[in-house]
Amino acid sequence: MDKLKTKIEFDAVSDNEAFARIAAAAFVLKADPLVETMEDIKTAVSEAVTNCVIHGYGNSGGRIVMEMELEKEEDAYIFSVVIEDFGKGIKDVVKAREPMYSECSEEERSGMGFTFMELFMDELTVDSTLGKGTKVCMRKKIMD
Amino acid sequence: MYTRLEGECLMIEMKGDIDHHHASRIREEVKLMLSFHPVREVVMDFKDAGFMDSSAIGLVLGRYIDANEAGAGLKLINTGERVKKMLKLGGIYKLKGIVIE
Ligand SMILES: Nc1ncnc2c1ncn2[C@@H]1O[C@H](COP(=O)(O)OP(=O)(O)OP(=O)(O)O)[C@@H](O)[C@H]1O
Ligand SMILES: [Mg+2]
Repeated sequence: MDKLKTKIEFDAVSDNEAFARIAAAAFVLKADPLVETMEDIKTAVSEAVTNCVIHGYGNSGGRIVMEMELEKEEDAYIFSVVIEDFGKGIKDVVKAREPMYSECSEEERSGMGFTFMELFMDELTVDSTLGKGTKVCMRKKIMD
Repeated sequence: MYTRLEGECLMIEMKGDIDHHHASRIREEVKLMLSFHPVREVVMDFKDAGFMDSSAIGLVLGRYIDANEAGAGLKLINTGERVKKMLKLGGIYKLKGIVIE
């Protein structure tokens, strides 16, 4: 195997947050990651999916697409994941990515979601269009 | 159940997955308990915490406000290495009067 790919689509409901991170954990098993690396990946995926549920669709449901790739390199695997919603989008991505920035008032949000994604993964890119949706891409190296 | 009363202390068991899905249940339960019982201290016990994401940070921040409003202190106990790391990143250590063990 040089490259392993998978694509799943699921409803944007809070029940599926656990499903998504467990699916990611199962997908990277092949790379035999350390427990801590596994936890980092699960947390990052959970953040992105939770954001789609709460912010993208305002807790009223929708569609989330998650694509994962595992690529073998010489001394490591590269895990990449794309999590996409087709909801309301983000007006100012730079601001949204700041630590402790949250636009959500009715729930208790700490505004740490993007910060955790950034810290726990090697790379994070966010593409968003108002009224169209948001696409979060993350990569992480898993050492052999 | 996530909560129980021990004298004048409200114990919150942070058990299992502390994510968006479960955080709202814990929050509702704590709010209900506090509305019936005056307490001196709110304790969040992380002994059996499984998975955690930023929802747990929001949950702690919210209980910090609840405890303040109830005139009680907030203590976090049995915080493991990963829990401590996330609390630190989330600015929880900077909260005045909070006790973290
Ligand atoms: N998929 C999304 N669709 C629309 N807006 C989003 C999306 N993801 C994030 N945002 C916006 O970016 C802000 C910051 O997101 P972030 O995850 O960092 O914090 P949060 O979700 O508000 O709080 P926390 O993740 O700590 O519970 C959100 O408050 C929201 O306004
Ligand atoms: Mg978030």
